[in-house]
Amino acid sequence: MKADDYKLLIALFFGFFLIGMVILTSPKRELGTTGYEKVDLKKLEKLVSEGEITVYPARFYKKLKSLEEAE
Amino acid sequence: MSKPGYVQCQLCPKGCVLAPSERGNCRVRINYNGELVTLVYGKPCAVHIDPIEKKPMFHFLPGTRSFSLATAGCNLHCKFCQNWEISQVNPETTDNQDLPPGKVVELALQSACQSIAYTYSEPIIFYEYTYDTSLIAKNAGIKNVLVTAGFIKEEPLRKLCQVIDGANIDLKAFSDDYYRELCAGQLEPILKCIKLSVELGVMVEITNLIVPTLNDDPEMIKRMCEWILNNLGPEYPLHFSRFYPQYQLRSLPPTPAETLIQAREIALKAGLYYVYIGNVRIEGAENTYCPNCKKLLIERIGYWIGEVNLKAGSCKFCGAKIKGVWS
Repeated sequence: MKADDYKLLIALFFGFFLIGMVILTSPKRELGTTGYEKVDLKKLEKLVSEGEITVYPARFYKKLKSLEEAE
Repeated sequence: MSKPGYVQCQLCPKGCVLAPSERGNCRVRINYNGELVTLVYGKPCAVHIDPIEKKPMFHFLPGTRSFSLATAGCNLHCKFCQNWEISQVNPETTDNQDLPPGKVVELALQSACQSIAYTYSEPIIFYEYTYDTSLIAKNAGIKNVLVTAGFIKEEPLRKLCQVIDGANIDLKAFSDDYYRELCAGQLEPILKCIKLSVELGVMVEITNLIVPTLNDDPEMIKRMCEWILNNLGPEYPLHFSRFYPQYQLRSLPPTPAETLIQAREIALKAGLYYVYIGNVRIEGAENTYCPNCKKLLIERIGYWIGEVNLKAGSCKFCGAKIKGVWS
C-alpha cells in the first residue's frame, strides 16, 4: 500500500468515526426518540378484545400532513 | 416530505412523531390508523391504598390514606428507576385491572381515602385516565395527588392543574447532563413544570433522590436549593431520598446517611423551611418544625404520625401559618 492509500484509509476511518459520534450524541438519541417500535396491530386488537388493554382516543396530539409540520 | 397518517404527540417535550402502527417513547401511546390512542385508559397495573406520607406528601392531609394507582409506561428512562418492573415495560405485558375512572372514585370513597394518588410509574403518560378520574374525584370531594417526574408540556399541564390539588415532583438533579445521560430527559421542562404547578395553586413538594457519585455534589445541591428558594420561596417542602441499588445501577452502593444529612443541612442553610430525609430512618429528619418558633409541629416515624401541633393550618404555639393542605 502506498502512503496516499494509508492517508485515505485514515481519513475514511475518521469520517465514519465522526458520523458515528454525531449520531450517538444527538439530542434525539439522548431523549430516546430516534426510532420507534412497530406494533403488531392484530396482536394488539386481540388483547383489546380480551380486555387486557384499551384503545382510547388520546388528547394533545396533531395529525401531520408532512414531516416539516412537526415541532 | 408528505407523510400521510403521521401524528405528533404533544403531551410531553419529547414530541414523538409516529408513523402508522408506531409506539411512542412512553410505551403507551400509539399511532392507530392515523389517530393517536392510549392503551392504558382504565387499565391500571398497580392499585394500592397507601399512607399519604409514602408519596411522600408531608404537608398534605397528614395521617390520611390515599387510593394509589399506576399503569405501565413512563416517558423517562432513569437507570436508577425504583419501579422499573412497571414503568419500563409495555402495557401488553403487565397484569392490568379493569378500573374505569368512576370505579376508582367509588373504591376510594368506600375505602375512606381522602385522596387519589396517580403514582408509582408516571401519571403524565396516562394523562387521559388521570384527568378524567381527577375530575370525577374532585366533584365527589376527594383530592387528587400527582407523583410525577414533571416531564410535560405547558398546555396539558395547565389543564391538569385545574383538577389536581397536590403534587410530589421529582427534581432528580440540578443538571441537564444528568437528565440526558441517566434519564433520557431534560432539566428545563421539569423546572417549568414545578414553577407553573405552584403558580396554578397546586401544593407542590419536591423529591431529590441522591445517587452516590452521580448527583451528590454539595455545590449542585446548593444551586438546586437556591433555585427553589428564588423561584418558589422557602415554604415548599423538599425531600432528600435515599437511593437503593436498582435496575441498571445495581453496582452503586446505597446513599450514605451522612450524605443525606449534609444535603439537608445545605438546604436549611440556603433558607428552605421544610427539608426532610426519606427512605431511611434518621431521627428528627421526618418531623415538621415551625420555621418561626422552631417547635415540633408534626412528629413522624416512617408512615406513623405522632404529635400534631397544628391548629387550622397554623403553629399551635406561635400562630405562624404553615404551608400545606391540612383539611
